[in-house]
Amino acid sequence: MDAHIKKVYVPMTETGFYILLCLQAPNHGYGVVQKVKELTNGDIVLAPGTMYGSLSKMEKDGLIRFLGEEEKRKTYAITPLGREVLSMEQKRIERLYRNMKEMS
Amino acid sequence: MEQKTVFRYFTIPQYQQEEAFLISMHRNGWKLTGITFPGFYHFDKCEPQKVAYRLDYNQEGMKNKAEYVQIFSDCGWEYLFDFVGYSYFRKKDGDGQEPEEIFCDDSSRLDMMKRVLKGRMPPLIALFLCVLLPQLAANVLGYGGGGLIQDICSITFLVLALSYLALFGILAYQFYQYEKKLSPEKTGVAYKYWGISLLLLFLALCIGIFFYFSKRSVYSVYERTDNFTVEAGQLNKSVSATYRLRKGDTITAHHDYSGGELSIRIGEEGQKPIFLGNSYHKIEDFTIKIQKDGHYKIECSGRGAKGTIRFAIQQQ
Repeated sequence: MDAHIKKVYVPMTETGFYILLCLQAPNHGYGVVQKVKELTNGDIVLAPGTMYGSLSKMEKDGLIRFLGEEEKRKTYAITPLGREVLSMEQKRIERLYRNMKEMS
Repeated sequence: MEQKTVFRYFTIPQYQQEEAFLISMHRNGWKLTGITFPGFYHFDKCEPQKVAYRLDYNQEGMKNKAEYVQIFSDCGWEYLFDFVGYSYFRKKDGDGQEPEEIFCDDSSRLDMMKRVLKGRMPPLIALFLCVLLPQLAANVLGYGGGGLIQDICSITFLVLALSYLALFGILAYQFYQYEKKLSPEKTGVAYKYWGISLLLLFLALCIGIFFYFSKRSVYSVYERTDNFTVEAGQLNKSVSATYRLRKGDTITAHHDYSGGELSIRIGEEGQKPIFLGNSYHKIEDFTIKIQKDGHYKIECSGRGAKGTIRFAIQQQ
């Protein structure tokens, strides 16, 4: 993984993390917004400007790829590089969680 | 329907001020219908409402308009129009909640700011480097013949170039404020903008020094009974000498030109000159014979003139 990807995506924003998490199954931007809302009981509502910006940036950096378009909605799915970033991030969060539990 | 137009000008990074302006207009019962260049905002009278107006700057989105607008409308945003690279969105605020946003984290807000910077600054910088600076240099150095028009152009381009630098300074400061607000923990931000400010000051100083040196005069004048000589390294002003001459006396000019523009005027004060010459390339040597007694003034005015001119006075 090159330095640019590491610098930009590790650690990740919450938005970025949820996008990669959700795109393990192919979905479009608004689908991800709905899914995240459901997962967080409505606490996190991803905004469209952030969503559109993140998706195009991640596509350009090769973390997700464009699958096809239906009804003006672009469908994306995670790539092997995206999975690698996601698993690094998962490990970081697991460690964070473990340390939090031990210390409190 | 009652309508009105308001003129407002927002500089490149002032999209938040612009949003606040549109929100307050709508809250006072004025709904945005369009904008015309450079900053005429058109409104229709409407019910006063708490409505969020948001601006996005996304060239990628502009290219893929349909799906770009789709994700916004899926999220409940009404797409209005584009104006100089910005896309305008509107959404009714929920009751008593935080105002609606199109960005939900600082990282994406900063990304948008960078897109604005990338999209809007290169044309300005290109204009500055490829038009303003060369024009300033060409006019100041006098390529094209010198003359009053060129002096006016020089001053105009000087003012324009310095205003551009000031504008860059203001924009950098606005971006600095914004970036600092979004990522206060990043220490490099201040240094980056200090660097930009120093660079701008340095450029302004260079332009000032260039202008000063090309407009100053370096010359010596020898005024004797039998000749008047001007040796100019660079003459940007007027020098003169007055001789009392009689009918039949002669003035002979020898000119050793090496650059710039020189005008020569010989004549009695307040009278039609007996010689008037303006040469950019070459002034011919000449001799004139005085037809009537009087006080004759020999005047040389230069615009970046270089060389030596000697007027020999031969009295009968």
